[in-house]
Amino acid sequence: MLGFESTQETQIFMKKDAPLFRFNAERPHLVSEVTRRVFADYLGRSRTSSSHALEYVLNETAFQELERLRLETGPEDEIRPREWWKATARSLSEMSEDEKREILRGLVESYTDDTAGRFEPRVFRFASGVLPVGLSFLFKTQDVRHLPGAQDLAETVKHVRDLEERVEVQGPVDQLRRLAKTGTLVVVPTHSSNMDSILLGWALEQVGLPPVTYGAGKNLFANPLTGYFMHNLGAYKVDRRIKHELYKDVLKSYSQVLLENGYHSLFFPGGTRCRSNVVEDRLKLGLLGTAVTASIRNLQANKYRPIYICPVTLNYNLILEAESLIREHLRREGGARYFLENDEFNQISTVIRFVLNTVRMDASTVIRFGQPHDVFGNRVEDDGESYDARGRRVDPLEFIRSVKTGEVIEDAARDREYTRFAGTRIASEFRRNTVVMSSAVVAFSLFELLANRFPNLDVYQLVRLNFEETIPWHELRSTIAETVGDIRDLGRLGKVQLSGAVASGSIDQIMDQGVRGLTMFHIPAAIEYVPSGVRINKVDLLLFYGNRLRPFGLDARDILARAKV
Amino acid sequence: MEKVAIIGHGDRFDALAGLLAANGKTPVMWNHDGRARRHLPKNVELIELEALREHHLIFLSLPINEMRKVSRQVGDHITGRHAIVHLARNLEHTSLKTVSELLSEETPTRRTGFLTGPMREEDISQGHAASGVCATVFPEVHELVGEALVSSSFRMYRTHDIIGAELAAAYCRVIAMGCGVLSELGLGQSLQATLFSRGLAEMGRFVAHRGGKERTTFGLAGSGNLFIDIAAPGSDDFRIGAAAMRLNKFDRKSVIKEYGSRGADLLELIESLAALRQNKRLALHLLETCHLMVSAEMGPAAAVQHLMSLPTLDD
Repeated sequence: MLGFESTQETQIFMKKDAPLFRFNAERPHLVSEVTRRVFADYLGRSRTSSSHALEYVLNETAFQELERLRLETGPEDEIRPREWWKATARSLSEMSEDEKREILRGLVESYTDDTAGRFEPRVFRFASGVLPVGLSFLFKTQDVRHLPGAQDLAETVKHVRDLEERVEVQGPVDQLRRLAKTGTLVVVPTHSSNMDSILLGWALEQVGLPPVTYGAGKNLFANPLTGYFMHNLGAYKVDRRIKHELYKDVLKSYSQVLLENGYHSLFFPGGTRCRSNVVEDRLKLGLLGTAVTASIRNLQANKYRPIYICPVTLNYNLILEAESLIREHLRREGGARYFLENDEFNQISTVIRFVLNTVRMDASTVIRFGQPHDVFGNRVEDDGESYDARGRRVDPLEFIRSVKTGEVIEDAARDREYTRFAGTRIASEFRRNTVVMSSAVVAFSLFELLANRFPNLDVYQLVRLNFEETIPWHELRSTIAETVGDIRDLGRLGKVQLSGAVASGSIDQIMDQGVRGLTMFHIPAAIEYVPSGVRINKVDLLLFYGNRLRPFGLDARDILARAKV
Repeated sequence: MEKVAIIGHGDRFDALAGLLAANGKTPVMWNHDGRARRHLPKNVELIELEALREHHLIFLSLPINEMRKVSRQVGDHITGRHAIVHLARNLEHTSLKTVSELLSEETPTRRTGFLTGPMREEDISQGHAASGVCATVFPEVHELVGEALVSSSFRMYRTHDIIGAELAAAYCRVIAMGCGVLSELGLGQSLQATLFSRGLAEMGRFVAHRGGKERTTFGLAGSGNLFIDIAAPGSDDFRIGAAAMRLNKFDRKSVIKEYGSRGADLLELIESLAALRQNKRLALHLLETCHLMVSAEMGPAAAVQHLMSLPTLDD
C-alpha cells in the first residue's frame, strides 16, 4: 500500500547522512550552546531592565514552581524538588550577584539537559520497521497474563507486522526526499492521538525520509507503550506542567539550535491533540517561529541551509482517545455543562484492543503530505525553489533583508508576521489534504439525522440524551448518499481528499465500513446494529468523528432535505 | 538616499505628492497609464516599470478597479524586500477583500501598509497642517513612511490594525453619503450629529465582524476620515448624497455622468457591502438604507423617514 518502497540505497544514504545519527556525538555541544544562549539572554536583559533583574526572575520562577509542586501529587521525577525551591527562594535576598548567576546558569543547564533526549541508532532498526519491532518488544516485556484482553494478544502480535498494509503514505514524498538532502525539514502534522508521533516516525522511515526530532510530553516518556519509542527515536522531553518563562525559553532555544544545526524536526502546530476533531486552523506558532530565526542566524553565520515546512495530515478511520478528547472539548466549550474523565491511553487493555481492532479493520490509516513551504509561507516546488501566489519564483532571502539597507536582520515583529502567514498556509494545506474516511461520513450523517429529530436541543443536550434512538436504514442510507455526493464534488475541486472507499466505493460499502468501525472500535460501542436500523449509544463519538467534515461547508439541512428525511 | 516610488492618480495621490514635496522629497513615479505630463505632480521624476526594483518603498493610490491589474504588474518586478503602502479607501467589489489582502495575492512581498486620514489635498497645497495614520504590522514600514512624509505640517500616527483601518476608511464613504442626503433636509445639526455618531457605531460593528479592532473606527481611519468627508464642501460621496436628496431620487446615470469613475466606485461599494444586510446581528441599518436608495427601492426622503422609525439599539 505504500507509495514508495524503501530501497537499500536510500537507507544507506539516510544512515550515513541523517543528522539525528550524529546526535549523540553532538549532544554535549548542543546542550552547552542552548545553556549559553539562554543564560546570556537573561543576563543581558537583567543589565538593561530592572524588571528583569536576576533576583526578580529567580523569585518569579521559584514562586511558580512552588505553587505547582504544592498541587502536584504524583511521584513524578522533578528536575528540582520542592525543598530545593524553598531553600532557594528563602536565601535569594542574601545572595550575591555571582551566586544568583550561578543558580540561574545551573538551572538552565539542568532544564536543557533534561530536555535533550537520547537517540539510539541500534533501536532504529531499518530492515523490519520500528513499530512492529517495538510493539512486539513491548508486548513481550509486559506480564500479559494479568492484563485484560490478554487472550487477544497473540493475534495482535501476529497482525502487527501487517501494519504497512494498513498505512498508506501519500503526497510528494519524492520531492521531500530531495529537499531533505539540500535543506532541513520541519514536519508539521495534524494531531489526533498519542500514536501520531510513533506512527509518523515509522512512516518517514518506510518512505525513505530521514528521522526527525520532536518534543514529546513527559507523560509519554512515563507511559509503558510510548516511553520506549520516545527514549530512542529522537524525542526531546517537554514537561507541560512547568509553566514559567525560563523553561519555555529553554525549549524554544533548544528547538532553534537543533534547526540551526540541520536537525530535521517535527512540531505539532495545533499544540496538543485536537479535542474536537475539526481540522485544526488555530495554530500555535511559537516553535514555528524558531524556524525563521534559525534561518536568519545561519545566514548571518554564512552557513545558510533552507528550512522547508512540510504539512502532513494523519487520517485515522477511528481514534483511540476519541471519547476523552471530545469530552474534554465539550467541557471546555460548555463549561459546567460537562465533566472530564480518564484518558484511554493510560489503560493498557484499551491500547491492545486499539491495535487489534486497527489491524482487523479494512480501512487504512492515511498519512498524506501536503505542499512544502518555505518559512515565509511561499510554496516550494520540485526544484527546491520558492514561488509566490502568482507562480513567480522568489528569493526567500529578500524577505529578511531590511527594506532600507538590504542587510539581513532579525526583526521580531516582522518575523512574527511571516510565521503567522506561514501558519495560514499550513492550515489551508491541512484542510486541502484532509482525507475523508467512511467513519466520518457515517458519523456526520447519523449526528445530523439525530439533531434533525430534536431540533430544539443544542449540542450539549444532544450528547447527554439519555434514551437510545434508532435511525432506520433507509434514512441513513439516503443521507450518506447525499453527503458522499457533496464530498465527492469537493474532492473534484481539490478542496479535500477522499479515502479509497469514499472516493469510489458504493454507498452500501461506505455505510458498511463506517458502521462496522463505529460498532467495533469503542466499548461501549458508539452505535449498534438492530434489525430496523442503527441504534445510537454514544452521541459524543458521532459528533467527534463527524466534526472532521465541518470545515468544508456542507449544508446539513440541505443534505437532509435532498435525502427526503 | 534611495527615492520613494509613487504610482497612481486622483485627489489622495495629489495629496501624497504634496506631502512629499512639503517634506523636501522628490519621488520617482511610474506613469502606469501614460498620462500627459501636465496631469502629473510637478516634483516627480518618471521611471519605467522595471526600475521599481531599485526603489524599495512604493506608494500606490489607485481606484479599486485598477488595483489588482497594476499590483500584478508591479509584482513582476519587486521582491520580498519591498514595502508597498496604498491609499485606497475601498474594498474589492464582490469579494470585499481589502487592498492589503489583494496585494499579498498579487505581489511577492508581505510588507504592506495603508495610509489614510484627514489629509485633504486643498489643505496640503495651501500649506495647512494635516494628519494621517499609517497602518501596518511591520515597524520598519512605519519608520520608512514616517521618514518620507512627516514634516512640521504633517503628523503621522501608527497602528498595527491594517485590516481595521482599511475597512473603516471604506465604510466611512457610505456614512458620508448618508450625511450628504441629510444635509439637504434642513433639519438642523442635531440629526447630523446623530448620524455621524451612529454611523461610527455601525462602522465599529462592521470592522469587528470582519476581523479588525472596533477602536480603530474611532481613530483617524474612521472618525477622522468621516469628519473630513462631511466637512464643507464635502467629499464626492457626501455630494452625491446631497444631490440625490435635492432631486429626491437616486439617478445612477447622472451620478456616473457627473462624478465619473468615482461615482461608480461608491455605488459598487455599497452594492457589494449590501450582501451583509442579511446578517441581523450586525444591524447595519445605515448601509441598508443607503442601499435602498442606491437601488432606487426607496426615495431619499422616505429613506430618512425609514431610519427615524427603526428601533434604537443599546450599546
